[in-house]
Amino acid sequence: MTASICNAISATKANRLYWLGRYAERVYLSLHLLRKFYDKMIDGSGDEYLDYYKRLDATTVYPDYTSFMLGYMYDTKNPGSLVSGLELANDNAIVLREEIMSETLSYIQLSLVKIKAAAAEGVTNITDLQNITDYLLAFWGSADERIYDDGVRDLLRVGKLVENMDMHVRFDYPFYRIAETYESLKKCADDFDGILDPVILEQLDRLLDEDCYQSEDTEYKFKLLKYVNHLVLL
Amino acid sequence: MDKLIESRDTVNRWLERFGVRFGIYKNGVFKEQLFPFDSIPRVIPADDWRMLEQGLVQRVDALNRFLYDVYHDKQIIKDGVVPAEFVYSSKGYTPECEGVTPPHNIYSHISGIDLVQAKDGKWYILEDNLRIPSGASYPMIARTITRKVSPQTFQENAVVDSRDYSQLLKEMMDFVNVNGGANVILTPGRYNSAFFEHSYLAEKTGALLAFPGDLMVENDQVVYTDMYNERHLVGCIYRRVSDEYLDPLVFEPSSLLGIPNLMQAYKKGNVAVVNALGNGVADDKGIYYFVPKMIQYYLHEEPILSNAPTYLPYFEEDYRYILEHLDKLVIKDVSEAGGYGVVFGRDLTPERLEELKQLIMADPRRWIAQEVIDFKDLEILEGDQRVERKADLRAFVVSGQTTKVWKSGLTRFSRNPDSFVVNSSQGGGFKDTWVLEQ
Repeated sequence: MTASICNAISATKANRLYWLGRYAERVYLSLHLLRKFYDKMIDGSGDEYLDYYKRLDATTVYPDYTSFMLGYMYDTKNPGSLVSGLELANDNAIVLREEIMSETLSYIQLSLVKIKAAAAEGVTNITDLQNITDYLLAFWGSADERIYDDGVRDLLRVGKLVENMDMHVRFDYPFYRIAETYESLKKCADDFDGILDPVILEQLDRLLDEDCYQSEDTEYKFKLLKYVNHLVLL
Repeated sequence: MDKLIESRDTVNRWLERFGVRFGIYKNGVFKEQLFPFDSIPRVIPADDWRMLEQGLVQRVDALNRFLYDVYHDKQIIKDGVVPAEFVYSSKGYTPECEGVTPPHNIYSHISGIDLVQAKDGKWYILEDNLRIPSGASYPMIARTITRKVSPQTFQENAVVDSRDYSQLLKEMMDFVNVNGGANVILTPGRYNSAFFEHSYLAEKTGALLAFPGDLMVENDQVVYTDMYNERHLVGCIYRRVSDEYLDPLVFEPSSLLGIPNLMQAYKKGNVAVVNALGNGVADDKGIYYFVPKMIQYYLHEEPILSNAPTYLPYFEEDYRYILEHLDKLVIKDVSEAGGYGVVFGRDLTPERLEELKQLIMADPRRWIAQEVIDFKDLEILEGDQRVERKADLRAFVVSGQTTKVWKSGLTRFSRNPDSFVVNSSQGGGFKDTWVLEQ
């Protein structure tokens, strides 16, 4: 008897898809933002990395720029490092092979192989990690191209958009970028009944106001980040 | 073929890219390793393959008949062909399966039969793996990659396309599926040594990959629970979890890997379990001795493929022979697998030989002894040098509507020049297995 096609996604898989989306986006944006700070430091005092790190609420203390770069990129004991982000993305991706397809998974694997090789060589120049950015872009392209199940694709994307909002808020991206991402997130989550917390959704709808966003009120930003990170019920 | 051979490192990079690894526990720590691929294929001429194919189908058909018989009429025991104590003292004999009939009477849906070729060209069966034989995914993905990396090799050589294994699996699962529900591959999880295989086969067959906790039994039906807590009927479970962990209410009560009440659903015929429960009784190293007799008994045919010359200390004559020739034989502990519990008498000191002798005398049923077959060595690349190493072949036989042999297999080789042990868990590598069109 031919088996029926079952596109059901278990709660565990949904959670993994969400976090895969988040970690992949976190590493991608971290590299992007690091490159920006790298550029700033050419003309600055060299302490700009402190500001970068503060924005991520990071707790690990690095005494100087070089130890920051090495630590932030390659320290496996630092849960906020790039290598940890990729390990966590891979931990989720490896158990989702049949959902995202081997080709999509391969870009996470390639990123991990690349960062481990760079760590072994002690590479501190961020531009040498450009391949990882390319792989992560390819990862998203492959996800769009090869994942036929809309639910799987959308759950990945929900994770991506939440992380995108979080990082962009932390680094003071213009309001319109945050608002657009938020709308995309709501649209993306539309097909999943009850995936967004209705109370937080209501709060965020109210909170996302351009004037408030630009007010430099730290409490406001704290609240905004808290709601963004608690919006998805997975 | 030279182009392909030169591409070994490229193929290995592709395998790394696709996360083709196997897990291993060393000193209690889980590590994932690449399974080294050697680009010189094992080549099997079409005539040899035809003989192997016929012999493997014959063997697996007889083993399936034996399993049905053991759990039902026991005619082979009553007729004195297989001694009762070999069946009932086997660790794999599962009393809970008595009288349970799997869909279409198929027990071993996927059989991994290990063979070696001797220097004179003759093939011998070394082992039947009828519980959860693993390893097909490695040559599957390797063939996909080698065809990409060196297309001209496959244009110039008439090699049977082996990329249909997932299709064979899917057809078999569809055939035994009892209710049109989902086909599911049940994995113990990421830290299982063969997790890559579980996930890759799920991807390629389109089956759901289920983790412990994803499946449950309700009203004697197996269901997969989705993120909204909705239930989806399951018709076939290709389980990669051992019998003893499969249903905590029947077997190991502390198991968190299984599905409570699965046995109840299975007994009622509400789900197919691939491979069936209780198969361990037929791939016991002691029962192996009797497989040629099973072929004669059930099929009234002469075995096409031979066992390696094997002695059972259970029989008086064999017992004496083993004790007298221990230093020339290979001794296997019937309860071990994965290359463990295999001892070559010639490698032992006189003291160790004496210890082994005592162990055999104390518990003869625990051991078998075999003549050491002088394997035909296969060439592998060691650095850039071609060297010869011991190798075996695991053939995969899929039993659904008919019994089919996958036209490829897992050729494993020892990387250690002095070793006959080819298991991946013991540092071996693998090759593609080419079956020639003519």
